[in-house]
Amino acid sequence: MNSEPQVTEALVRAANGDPTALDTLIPKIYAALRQLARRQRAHEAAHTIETTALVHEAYLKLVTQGGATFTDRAHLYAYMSQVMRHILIDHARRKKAQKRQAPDVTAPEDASDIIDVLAIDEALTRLAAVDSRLAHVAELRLFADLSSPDIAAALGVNARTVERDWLKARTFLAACLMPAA
Amino acid sequence: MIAEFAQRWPEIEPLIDQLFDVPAAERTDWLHKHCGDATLRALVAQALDHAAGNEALERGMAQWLPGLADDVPEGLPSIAGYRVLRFVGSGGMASVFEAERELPGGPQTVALKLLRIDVHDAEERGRFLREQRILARLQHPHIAQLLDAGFSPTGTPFLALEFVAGDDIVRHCEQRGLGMRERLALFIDVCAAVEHAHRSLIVHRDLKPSNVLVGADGCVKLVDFGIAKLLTGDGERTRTEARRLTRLYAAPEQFSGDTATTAIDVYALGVLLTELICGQKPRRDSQNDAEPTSSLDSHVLRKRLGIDLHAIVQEATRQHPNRRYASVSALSADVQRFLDGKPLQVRADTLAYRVFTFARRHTFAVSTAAVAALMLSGATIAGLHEAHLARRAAQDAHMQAMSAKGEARRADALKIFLEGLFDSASPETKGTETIEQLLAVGRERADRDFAMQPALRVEIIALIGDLERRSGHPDRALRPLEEAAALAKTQFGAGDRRTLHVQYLLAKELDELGRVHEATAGLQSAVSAFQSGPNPHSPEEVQALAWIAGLDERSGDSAKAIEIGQQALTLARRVLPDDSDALTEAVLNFGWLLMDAGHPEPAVPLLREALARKRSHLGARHGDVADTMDLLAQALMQSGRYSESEQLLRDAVSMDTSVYGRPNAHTAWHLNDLANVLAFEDRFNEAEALYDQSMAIDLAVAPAADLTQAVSIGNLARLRFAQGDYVGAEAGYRDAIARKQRLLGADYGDNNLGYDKARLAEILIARGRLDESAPLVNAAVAEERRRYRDAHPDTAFALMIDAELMAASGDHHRAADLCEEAVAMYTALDDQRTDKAIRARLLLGDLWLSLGRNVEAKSQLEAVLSTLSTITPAPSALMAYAKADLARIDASLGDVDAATRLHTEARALLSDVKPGPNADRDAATHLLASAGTERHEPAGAMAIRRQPHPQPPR
Repeated sequence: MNSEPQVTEALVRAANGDPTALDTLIPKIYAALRQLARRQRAHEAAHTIETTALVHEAYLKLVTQGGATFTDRAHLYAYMSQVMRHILIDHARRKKAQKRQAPDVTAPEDASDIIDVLAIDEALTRLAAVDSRLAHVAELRLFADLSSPDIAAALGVNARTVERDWLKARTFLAACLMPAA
Repeated sequence: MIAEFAQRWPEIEPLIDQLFDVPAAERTDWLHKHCGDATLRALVAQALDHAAGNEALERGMAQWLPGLADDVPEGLPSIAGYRVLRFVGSGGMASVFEAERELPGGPQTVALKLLRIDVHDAEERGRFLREQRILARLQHPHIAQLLDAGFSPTGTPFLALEFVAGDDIVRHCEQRGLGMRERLALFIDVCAAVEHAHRSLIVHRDLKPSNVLVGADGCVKLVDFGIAKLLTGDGERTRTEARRLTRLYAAPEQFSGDTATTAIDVYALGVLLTELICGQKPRRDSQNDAEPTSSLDSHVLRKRLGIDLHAIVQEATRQHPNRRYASVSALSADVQRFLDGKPLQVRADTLAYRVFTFARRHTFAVSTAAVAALMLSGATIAGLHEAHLARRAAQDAHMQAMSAKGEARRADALKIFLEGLFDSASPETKGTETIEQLLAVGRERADRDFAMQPALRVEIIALIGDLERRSGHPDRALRPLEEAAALAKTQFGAGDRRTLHVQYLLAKELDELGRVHEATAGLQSAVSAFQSGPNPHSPEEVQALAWIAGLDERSGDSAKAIEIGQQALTLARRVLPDDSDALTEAVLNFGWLLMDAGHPEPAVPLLREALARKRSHLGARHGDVADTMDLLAQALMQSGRYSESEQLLRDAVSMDTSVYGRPNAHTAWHLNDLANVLAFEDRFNEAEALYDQSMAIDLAVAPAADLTQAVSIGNLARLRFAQGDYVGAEAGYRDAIARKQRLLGADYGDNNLGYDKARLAEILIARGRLDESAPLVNAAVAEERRRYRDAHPDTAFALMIDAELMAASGDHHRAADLCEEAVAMYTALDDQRTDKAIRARLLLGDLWLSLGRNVEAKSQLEAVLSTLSTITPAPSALMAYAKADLARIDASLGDVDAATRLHTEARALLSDVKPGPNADRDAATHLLASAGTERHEPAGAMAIRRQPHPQPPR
């Protein structure tokens, strides 16, 4: 694996308080998070503080982990996707616990359209047990929001393979999520 | 399934890898060619059939980040004829824009809805446009008018609707902090709109807060009518519809792809009502999905909604469409009734329908609708009309059934419900345990559901207490009744008839527990408070008065008791309708107290009347009917009509068996009295078997029947006495007394303590232990004299035992004086035929004879014999004794012929007496044997035997 100087540099900058540093590394995911935060402010809606908290949480985790050196993009992505996965799972669990106490006011309306993160997590773990590479691709895709070419570049394989792996992973996950249709 | 899938993944993976390159239409054939394993084929085929899952996975992370799920579309769409102004929002099915429609009269602001479906082929496009034309005809002040529909240049279908500047209904209410009445008023408007649509044969199918808007002017506007249908069409696409639907608001049958009926909207309105009142989305209890009940049923909800609205919601959201409100108007009408404080249709229904027989008719009518709905499945909008009509018809049938019962008030319905549960406890349905559970549940409901309706709560708690008592659990009945009485006083006030009624129930309970004084005091003051209140002369007053009379009788004031009893009955006959329960109670109580006061003759016709009334009110077979039969039987017993009494008691016992199903304290009482009457008929063995049976029941239902058990033990001891087994009699009677002492404590004084002392003394005299019996006799006489100012059977009995003691001690003069007083008392009471009265007169005859007053003795004995001849069946042993005794007197007067004739008759009678130990037979035999050898045998304790005394089951 090739050590990428700009990764280390960006992390150092981030650790020093430069909020744009990470943008260069994980463009899409971080942009998404930042966009979320902006929308939050713009709407000032009842749409819960949870998304903001989520962004901050992810950011903090990433920054405080800055000491851990990411030798390359692949490691950073892998780490990032895992952080995101855990954050979302925590978030989902918290929400579930709250729901047990009181009906959820803030749940998105069309709950049926949205796949439960916890279910995805479970399915991913299942997939990892039978085919870790597929699981890895799926994780990057789902939790780092990376495109097939991004993933291909990070893993050093060609994009077509990644795309094919994703299709297979998707089939597996969908089968786990939608049993006995 | 998933496990199998994961396990076989290594085999599945290469197959799907290749299948990705095979066109979808050829995949099945390809699989058959390349995979011989059917199971594996199925797994692969299924895995490839998860379009929705794939779609969701493709959306990726964004869907879990709230607010990002529906991103703002790039730019604004362009649609001919409209000027799109801005993006408003988006939901699962569409993006909405505010736009201006160019019209000749100027621009009109519209909501432009771009649907997220692709309508490609001409047929689908045609259908879409046809449907929208139907929808466009839907015009109602509370429905956002559909103005136009068409396709964007890219082929996206769009709808143009009347633009509503406002919030969804829930947010509107929350933000303005609207009260419940205002919210319900809005809800009724929503219902009106939906109802209107249903009349036009259009089902909304996707009612939810975001489709129910409230404009700035506070006017409700429903949007998206029938759009769910536009989106999905019929038949094979319903599964897709299920995924698109808002899960919470979708009726269960929508998931299974059943045809859209108005019931779907009723369901969604139920959910909307919940969210509207609670301000939050209710949770669907998935565990309930299998139950035929509502999906929205939880304690939390019930608490937040209150019992009435909760009932409405439940009825609207029943799992099975045919069990929901038959129409939106029915739902809306109940909400209106709630607002008006009127009884609800639904509650009368759900509570009553378990009780009344119309349930079957009701079910039948509804299932007719179900059949109609099935036949119409897959039908188009037009078909809906027929389904609608079928539902209406079903509802009409249902309404007719309801009106058979009339508009039962809610409280009445609940009462009927609970009483129904109790009364229907026949063997084939529920046993005692189930009743216990039901009552426990009833209690729980009273506390939980009626917390906000204290008046109803009082009535229900009292009812539960009374039902506990009536089902033979006086031990459990006291607490709820005391609680209800206390609540009633604060809730209704002391002068209210309901307070009086609860106090009456409590008095009955205390009475049953033997706490006569408490019962009397409480009820007395309740009656006084009521009589000074605004509405005297009510059924409750009659009941209370009647019971006070009974209590007075037992606390010793027979004259007052009879006066009040008569007063209560007169009042009842004057103010109550002829079929009134309270009138029946008054008749029954007066008869009962006359009997207890020692007037069996006037008691019999009253008790007969009471029985006839109970039969006509409650039907031929009922626990209360059996109890009344027992009372009448006791009165008949006291007037010497043993045969009739026995028959009645046998009928009562057999009725108990079918009414209660399980051992019950009432059955024990009735068996006990049956045994008593058999003992009078000298059928000791049969009697003993019944006492045993009665006590076995007492044991089974202990501790409820501990007191009855003590009474039975006493009765059995008296049976031993009648058999001449004095040792057994003493042991048994002492046991009975000890038990009563323990159970009743200080209250024993009000519960025949004097009588029991006299009975024990009688046994001791028979055993020759006169010194021991003397203090008992003295105490008994003193207690009864103190208790009863007037003539009373118990005083008479104590006096007779005293006479026996005196006779046994050799003081015949004193004995004769005491016995004369006793006989005079029985005469004053017009109590001639009871066993005790007869024996007192026999003893008096013997005593006169021993004092040389032979002529008086003879006429006394002749009178006794004439009384005995009216007893049915004739008590052979006692009659034989009386004849032998008279023969002795005749012989002493020199009438040898008469004596001989009497001897012959006595011997003949003795041959009728059943074998087995019998003290009367032994005494008679002894007299016959000693005839001629002893001229003036003094009447001794050995000669006179008494028999069991019937004890009323109180």
